Amino acid sequence: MKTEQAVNQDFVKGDGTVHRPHVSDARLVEEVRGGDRDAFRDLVLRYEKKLYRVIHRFVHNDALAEDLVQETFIRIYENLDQFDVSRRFGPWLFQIGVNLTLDYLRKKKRRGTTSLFSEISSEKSLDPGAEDPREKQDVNEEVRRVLQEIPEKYRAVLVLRDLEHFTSAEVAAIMKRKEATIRWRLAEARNRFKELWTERVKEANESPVEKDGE
Amino acid sequence: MSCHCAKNRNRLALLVDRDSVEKLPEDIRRILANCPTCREHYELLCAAMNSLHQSGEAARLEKSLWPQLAHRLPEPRVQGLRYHEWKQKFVPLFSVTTACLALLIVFVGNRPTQNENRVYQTAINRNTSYSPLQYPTSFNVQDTSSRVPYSIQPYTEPFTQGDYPSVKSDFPDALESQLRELLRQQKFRQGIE
Repeated sequence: MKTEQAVNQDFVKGDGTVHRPHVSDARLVEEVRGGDRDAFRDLVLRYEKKLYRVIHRFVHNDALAEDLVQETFIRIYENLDQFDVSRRFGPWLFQIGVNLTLDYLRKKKRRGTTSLFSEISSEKSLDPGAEDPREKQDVNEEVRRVLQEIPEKYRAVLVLRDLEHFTSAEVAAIMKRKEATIRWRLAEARNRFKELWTERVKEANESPVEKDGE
Repeated sequence: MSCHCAKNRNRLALLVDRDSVEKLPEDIRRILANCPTCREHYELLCAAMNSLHQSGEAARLEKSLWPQLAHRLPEPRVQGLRYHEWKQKFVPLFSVTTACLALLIVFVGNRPTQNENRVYQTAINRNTSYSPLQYPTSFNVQDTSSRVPYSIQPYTEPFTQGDYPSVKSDFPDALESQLRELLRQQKFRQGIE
């Protein structure tokens, strides 16, 4: 039975659904365990945008990211009994989502089907004879290509920490590693990104000279 | 000035998201001021991270995924609910019951009993024989008005009430025989009278 205060804190959204922003994740999880689907809808509405953004950082494909987000929420729903309510729900959700995404990419790579990442990285982006790629593609594309050259364990930390702005502790919870390990990986990932980025910038600066010299 | 550039690389990488050099620790600022290799590394690191942050625009989810997701979700979680309710209600009940039983067993097991004394008293009243180990520490001898304590010596023969106590070990044989004779004569006289 809802208290009057709880009802006042709820508000009805444009599509008629009741949204309860003040109810804690743990409370919603308990309600879902009790068979309340609306509580699960609230959890989905609360986290779907950020989860989609994080997964899209890895797969760079709208439809695929949507599928993976849905798959993540289904797994969450199925395994909600295993969730310890004394812990935070967010890191658990992102842990499942990120692991699912990385597993998907690994399987795809193992099957021999080149992933979106490898397709991009296999392209010769800085062909000396071609024009500077940054004249055609924006910085996002260049950054994405550089990220693909970084090993997965470093890339994941870099994306979560520097692009999605999770704290080191949150990244540690998502990746199921110690915080010290995450900090070390972050430093390594940044250094590797810097090396690759500097190399690309140098190549891009040299290519017009070569072209002029011909 | 010698500089451990390789060691400083990781520290610089972790400090790169500070907004300005002034916010860096003093020792790092000194290193950057004195070591051109570290300074160059730090500047390139800052440039690379700026590019990374500029590319931070991420894809946006236009429509909620809930309508599609709602169709894909399994049936309502009745089993999960039952299990959860069972766990919440019965586990504490079982725990409390077990604890109570354990306490009961401990208290009943350690309660002092008077059984041994009762056995002695009953045995005396019934005029039964004793083994040496059950021999009482004091008892009445002939005169019931006063209790005569005896120190218990190792005793090998069974003892019944009405017999003589352990005078055998306390008196010389001659005295014992005289005493027996006197008692016999006294009984004889009483019998005649």
